Amino acid sequence: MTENLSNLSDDRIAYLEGLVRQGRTAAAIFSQFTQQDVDRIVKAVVLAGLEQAQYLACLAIEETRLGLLEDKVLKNMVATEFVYDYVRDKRSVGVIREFPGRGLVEVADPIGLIFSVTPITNPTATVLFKCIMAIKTRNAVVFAPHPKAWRCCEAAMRIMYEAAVKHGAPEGVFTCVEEPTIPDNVYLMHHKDVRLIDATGGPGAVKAAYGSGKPALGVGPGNTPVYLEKTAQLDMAVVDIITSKTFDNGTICASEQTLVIDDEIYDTVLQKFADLGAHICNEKETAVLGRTVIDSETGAMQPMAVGQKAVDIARACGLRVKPDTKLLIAPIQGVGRDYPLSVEKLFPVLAVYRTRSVDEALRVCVDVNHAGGRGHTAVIFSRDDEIIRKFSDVIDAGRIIVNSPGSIGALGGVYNDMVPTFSFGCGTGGGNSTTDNVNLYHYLNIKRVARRTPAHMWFRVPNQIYFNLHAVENLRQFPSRSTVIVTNPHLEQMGLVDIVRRAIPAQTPVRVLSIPDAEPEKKVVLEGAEALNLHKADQIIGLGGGSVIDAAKIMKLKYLSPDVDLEELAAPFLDIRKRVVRYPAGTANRVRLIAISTTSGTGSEVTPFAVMIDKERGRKVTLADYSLSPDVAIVDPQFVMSMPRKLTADTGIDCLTHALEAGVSILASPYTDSNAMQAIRLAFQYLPIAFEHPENEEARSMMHNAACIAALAFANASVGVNHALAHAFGARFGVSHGRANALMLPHVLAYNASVPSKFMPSPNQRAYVADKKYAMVADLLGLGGDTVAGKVQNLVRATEELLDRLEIPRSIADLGISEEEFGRAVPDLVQIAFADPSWLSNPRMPLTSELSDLFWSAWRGRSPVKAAAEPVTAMEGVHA
Amino acid sequence: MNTIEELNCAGGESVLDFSSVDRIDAAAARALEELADRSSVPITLRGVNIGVYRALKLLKLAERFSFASYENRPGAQK
Repeated sequence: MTENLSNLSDDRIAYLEGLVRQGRTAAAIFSQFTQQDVDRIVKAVVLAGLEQAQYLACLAIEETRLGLLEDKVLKNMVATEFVYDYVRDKRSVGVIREFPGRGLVEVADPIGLIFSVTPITNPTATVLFKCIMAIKTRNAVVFAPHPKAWRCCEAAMRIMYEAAVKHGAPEGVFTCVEEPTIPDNVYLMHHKDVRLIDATGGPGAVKAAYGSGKPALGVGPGNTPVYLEKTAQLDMAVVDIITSKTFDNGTICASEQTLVIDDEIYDTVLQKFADLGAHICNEKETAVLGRTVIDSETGAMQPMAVGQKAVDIARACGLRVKPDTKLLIAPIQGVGRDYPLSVEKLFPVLAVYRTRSVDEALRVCVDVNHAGGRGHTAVIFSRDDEIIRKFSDVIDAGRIIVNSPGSIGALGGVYNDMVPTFSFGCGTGGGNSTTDNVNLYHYLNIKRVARRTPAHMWFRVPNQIYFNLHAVENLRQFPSRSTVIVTNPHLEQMGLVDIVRRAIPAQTPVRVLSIPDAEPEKKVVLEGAEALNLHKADQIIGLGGGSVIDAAKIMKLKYLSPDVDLEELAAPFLDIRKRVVRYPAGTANRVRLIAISTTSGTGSEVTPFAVMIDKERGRKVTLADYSLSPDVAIVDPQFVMSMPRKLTADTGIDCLTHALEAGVSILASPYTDSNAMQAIRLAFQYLPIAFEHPENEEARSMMHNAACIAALAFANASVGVNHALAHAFGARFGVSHGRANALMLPHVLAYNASVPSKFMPSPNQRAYVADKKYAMVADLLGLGGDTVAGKVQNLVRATEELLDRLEIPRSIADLGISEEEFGRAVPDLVQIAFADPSWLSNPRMPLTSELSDLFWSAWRGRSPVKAAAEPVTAMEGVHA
Repeated sequence: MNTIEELNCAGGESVLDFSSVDRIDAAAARALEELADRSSVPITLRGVNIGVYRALKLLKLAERFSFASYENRPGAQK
C-alpha cells in the first residue's frame, strides 16, 4: 500500500490495491516468459485489436464525442498493424543486441508494473499501442484513461487482455481503473509497486507523473509550427496540411497549429486552401473565432471546440461558411497572448502568418514553438536543404517532419521511417525525459554486459635500424637533394660530423646546424626549423645524444607543420590512442630523419619522444607521438668509443632503467618483453666492461645495441615511477638523468615487487606480475634463488653491486645534499613526480606518501624501502 | 483437515520439490503465498530454477522460504 495522499475512501483504496496486486503478480509471472511466448501473444493481441478497430472507434466517438470515426479506425489500425510491423522482429527478451567486436551484449529486463495514463483525444489507439508494447516487453499495466474516455479504453484493454490471456499471458497483465479520478491517479502514481509511469495526456497528468518522483515517460501538449517555404511543392503541401489538420478533427497533438508562409506564395497558397475546402477568415472572423475557441483568461482551448468539425466550430462562432468546409484558416499578425489563435488548437482551425524573409519565418516558427510546443513537433515544406537544416537547428522539437503531414508524419511508419508511436517524447523542452517516439525500448531495462576487451596493442619502431661498427656507411643508400646535419659544437670538434659527411653521397649538398650541447630550447628548435626551411631540406641527420636527436625531431615537426602549437601538442594524456590533441598526419614521410646516437642510454634514435625547454615559460615541454620517431636509426659504436667513464656509467644505467621499467610496465607485451629482457642481459654483462675498459669495442658495441634495444621496449611499453622520481629529483638538484635514475633504481625495484597498496587499472594484464617478471630477469641473469621473493632480492642485490662497480654514489646524501635541504625539497619533489606522466604505466599506482618514502629511501641509500614480499600469485599471467 | 494443516500438525520441516517446475503461474503464486501465510513449519523449496526464483523474488515470496539445490543433498549425483 501507499500513503493515502488523495483522501480516497477505504473501499476505493482496496480497489486500487487489488489492481496493483494483480499487476504486480502478473509482472512477476511474466518475467519467466521466453521470446517465443511473448511473440506469440503479441501477434494474438494485435490481431484482436485490428479486428475490433472499427468497433473501438465507434465506442470512442460515442463516449468522447471527439474526432471522426473514419480517422479513429485508421488510428486503431496504425496502432496495431504498423506498431506490430515495427516490433515483430525485434528481440525484447534476454539478449536483444550483440556487438561482438566490442565485447558488448545488451540484455533486456522487463520493468514490472507500469501505470499508464491515456488521453481523451486518442483513447483506444493509445491503449492498443501500449498493450502491444507491454506484452512485447513482459510488463503489466494498470491503465487510467481520461475520465471522459474510460469506457472505450476499458473495452480496448479488455479485447487485448482476453486475447493475451487466451494465448498464455498471465492473469492480471492489464487492468483498467473504472471511473478514474485524479485522486486515483495520484494514489497509483505514488504506489511503491508501480515501477514506471507512462503518462500520455494533458499537462496536468504529465506534471503529476514527473512530480511523483517515479521514473516517468510524460508526453504532453504541443504547438506545431509549419513553415511553408517558397521552394516547396505547393499542391502537395496544401493537401498534406489539410489531411493532417483535419485528421480526426485535429486531435493529434502533433498536428499543425500555425502555418508560416513566405510572402511570395502567400496568396497562391491561401487560394489553394480555399479551392480544396478551407474557409479563409477575414479579420473580424478571426477575432470572433479567437474569442470563442480560446479561453481569453487562460489561453487554453475551449473544450467545446476540441475534436469538432470545422463547420460546427464555425456555426458556434456565428461564421457563415460553406457546408463542406474542412478547415478554418485564420490569418494572425503575431504570436502570444494577444493572438489567441497562436496556441495549440486540437481542432481544424489553422492560424496563418505571412512573412517577408526566411529569417522572419524562422523567428515566427521559434515563437510558436516556444508558445507551448517545445520539444514536440514541427513541420517544414521546402526543397531547400539549407533552409531545412536551419529550421532543424533552431526549432526545439523531437520530431521535425519534412514535406509531409505533421500529425500522421509524427506517428511514424506511414510517411517516414520513424518509429510508430502514440506517445511523443518532448525532451527537456517539454519537461520530458526523452525526445523519442516512445517505443518498446522505453518499456525495458536494458543491461549492458561488457566483457573485458584487451586493448589493441602495438609495437612501432623505425623501419630501418643499422647497427655494429661502421653502420654509418649505410648513409650512402639514402639519396637527398639537401641534407642538414643537426649536431653540437663538441661533436663537430671531435670530428664525428666529418665521419658522417664522408658517408653521405658526394653529390649531396650538406649543411651543418650546430646547436648548444644541452636540452634544446624552444628558441633553438624554432630557429632550426627555419634553417631547414631555408635549405629546403629533404633529409635531416640528428647526430648526438638524446638532446640533439630530440631537437632534430621537433625541428622536423615544426618544419613540416609550421602552424602546430608545440605547447598544445605537449598536453598530458593517459592513453596515446585516445589523446585529446592530434599530431599532423601524413607529413612525416616527406622528409627523412636519420638519427645517429653518440651516447648509449637514451635510445632517442628509435623513440617517439622529444623534450625541449621553454625558457620563456620556465618549463619543459615533452612531446610524444610516433610521428616523431626517426625514420632511420644508426647504432654505430664508433661514435661512443670516446665516451667518458662517468657518462658511460650514467647513460648505461639509464638504458638499464628503461629496460627494467618497460619489462614491468602495464603496457608491456611479449614484443616489448623480448627487447627489455635482452637489453637487461646486455647491460648487466657489458656495462661494467665498457666502464672499466672503455676501449673494449665489443662492450661498447653491445652497450650501444642495449641502449637501442631497451628503447625499442620503452618506446612501446613506456617507463615507470623510477623515471618520475628521477625527473623531479634531477631537475631540482642538477643531477644528470642517468645518475638520478641510478639513485632510485634499487628502491623502485623493491617497491614494485611488493604487494601494491593500489593497483593500476590495466586491461592488458591478467594478474600482478611485476615481482614475477623481476624473478624472470634474475633467472635470465643466473642470479639464483628458490622463490620469487628470493629471486627479486637477488636482482636488487645484483643491481646494487652493478651501481657500486660503476662508482655511482650510494645515496642522495652522498651527493652532499643534507637531510634538511632534502626535507625542504621533498614536498615539491613529490608533487612534481606525481604530475609526471612516466608513472602512468608503472605496475603500482604510487601514492604520494609512497613517493615521499621512495625519495627518502634514495636519500638514505641503497637498502630497499621494503624487502620483496611473498609472490602475489603463482606465475600465471606473465607474458614472457 | 487440509494439506497445510496436516503439515503443521506433522511438525518438523517441509520440503517441496520444484525440480520439474519450469514456470509458475498466478495460481501457483497465490498458493505459495497462502502456504507461507499459514504454515507454521519451515518450508524449503528444493531445485527451484532461477527463472522461478526470480519471479518469487519479484513477488516478495522468496524471503518467506528456504531454498536448497539438489547438489547439496547428501549423496546426490550431479
